[in-house]
Amino acid sequence: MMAVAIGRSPRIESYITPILVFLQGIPALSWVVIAIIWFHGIEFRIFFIMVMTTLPAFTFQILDAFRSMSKDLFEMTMSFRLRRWTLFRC
Amino acid sequence: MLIVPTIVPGILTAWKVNLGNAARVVVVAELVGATGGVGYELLRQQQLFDMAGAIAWTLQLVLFVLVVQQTINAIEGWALRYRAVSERGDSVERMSRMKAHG
Repeated sequence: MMAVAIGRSPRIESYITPILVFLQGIPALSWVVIAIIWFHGIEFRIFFIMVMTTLPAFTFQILDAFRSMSKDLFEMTMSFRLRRWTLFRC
Repeated sequence: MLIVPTIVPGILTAWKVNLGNAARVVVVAELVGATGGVGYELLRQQQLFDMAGAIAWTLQLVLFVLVVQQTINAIEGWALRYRAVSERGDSVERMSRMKAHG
């Protein structure tokens, strides 16, 4: 979702991309310490750490896949005048 | 119609790549911060100087990662079933054999 939103509007991209780059640089053990201090539930700590360490890489990879969409196909679907949800779904 | 089919191969590939990374991070997190789970058990085996136990838990983690990778491969085989069979890797030798026979 975030990758599609980033790919669509440059304003969201300029806002979220620096945050993601910053989050990507934080080592995993720092996230462990932060999670231990912030949360009490053990399962939620581990879930939080896993999401925070894999989210930036995942988003950037999906963003690349979104950007590699063929422009010809996109212009062809534009000629069908689709609604936004129909354009999105599979 | 357009966006999700374009993205799905990328999502599956990113999923497989990040799976190993996530498993490693979770084991490290459990090593220092949990009271159960693979990382905690690894820490206990290390404190008992039990090599067999440490290898056993490591192999269990490897087994888990392999099972999830096979699951993702199955999901990929179902989600991308529209792809023609010749997209698979073994088609190269089939084509070279066909060229050799003329």
